[in-house]
Amino acid sequence: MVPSVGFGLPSGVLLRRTAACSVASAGMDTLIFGGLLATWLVLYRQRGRTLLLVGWWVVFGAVALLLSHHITSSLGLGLSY
Amino acid sequence: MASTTAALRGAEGAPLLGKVQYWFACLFAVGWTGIVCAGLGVQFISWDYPCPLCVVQRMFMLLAALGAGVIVRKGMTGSISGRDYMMGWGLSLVACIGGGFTAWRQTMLHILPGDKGYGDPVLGLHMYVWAWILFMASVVAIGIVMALAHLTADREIPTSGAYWILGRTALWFVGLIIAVNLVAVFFEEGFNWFLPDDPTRYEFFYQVGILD
Repeated sequence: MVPSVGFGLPSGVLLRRTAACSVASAGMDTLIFGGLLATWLVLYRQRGRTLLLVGWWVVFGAVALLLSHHITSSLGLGLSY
Repeated sequence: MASTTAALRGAEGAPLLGKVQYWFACLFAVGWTGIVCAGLGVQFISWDYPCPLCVVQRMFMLLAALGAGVIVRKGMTGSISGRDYMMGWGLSLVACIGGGFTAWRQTMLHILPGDKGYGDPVLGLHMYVWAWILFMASVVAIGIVMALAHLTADREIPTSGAYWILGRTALWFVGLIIAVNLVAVFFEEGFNWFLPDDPTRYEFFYQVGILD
């Protein structure tokens, strides 16, 4: 019932994993938490409203992209509404 | 533009009530960070690996906490404008809707009778169901607080004593838990681009050869 794609196969709505992604790098989840920490720093150090908003929305957009990647079947799931 | 930055009227005659939004923002930031801590507790005490949708929900929770953090941080400077209140609650609302959608999605994946769900139930419900309930409750709470802004949103906030100490503590708590999640998800994800749908180990330690 739950699509068990694993992390070795391309999946998702927008993003596809390619063979080129074999270089060691931080994953998307890690980068997003890094972005959250950076946004927290901008907030705490009061680096400016614009920078804070840009950081927050960039992170939000990245989270939305990650969510879209993990939605691998229809939103309706074959159920009746 | 000037009307959004003007002092909110009506709260000057109720000094204690006028600080309610500042305190609620502190509670909101600490509360959502505390919920993420509960997830970390299940992760490391029950040794339950968070799935990708679980991690996405944590991200939305922390985004919501940062929205409230905007109000807290401005309060620590002694002054919060209407624009600051709106910005903070606006960001939190958007994050709660995103988190609510994610929790709804995860709930629906396991909605059919006989499905055991992902992870063990906590207090009778799975964590993603609790998350959906709390995201929706937060939306309602923010709406109530904003509707009563004429009473609860003072422009001037004391910068000494409990106001400053608790505000600073709340912000540092949010920052600390973001950092903990950064490390934890790095260990679980390793050098892969995405988490697996059903994680069974901390990939980093196997990728660098610490574990076989």
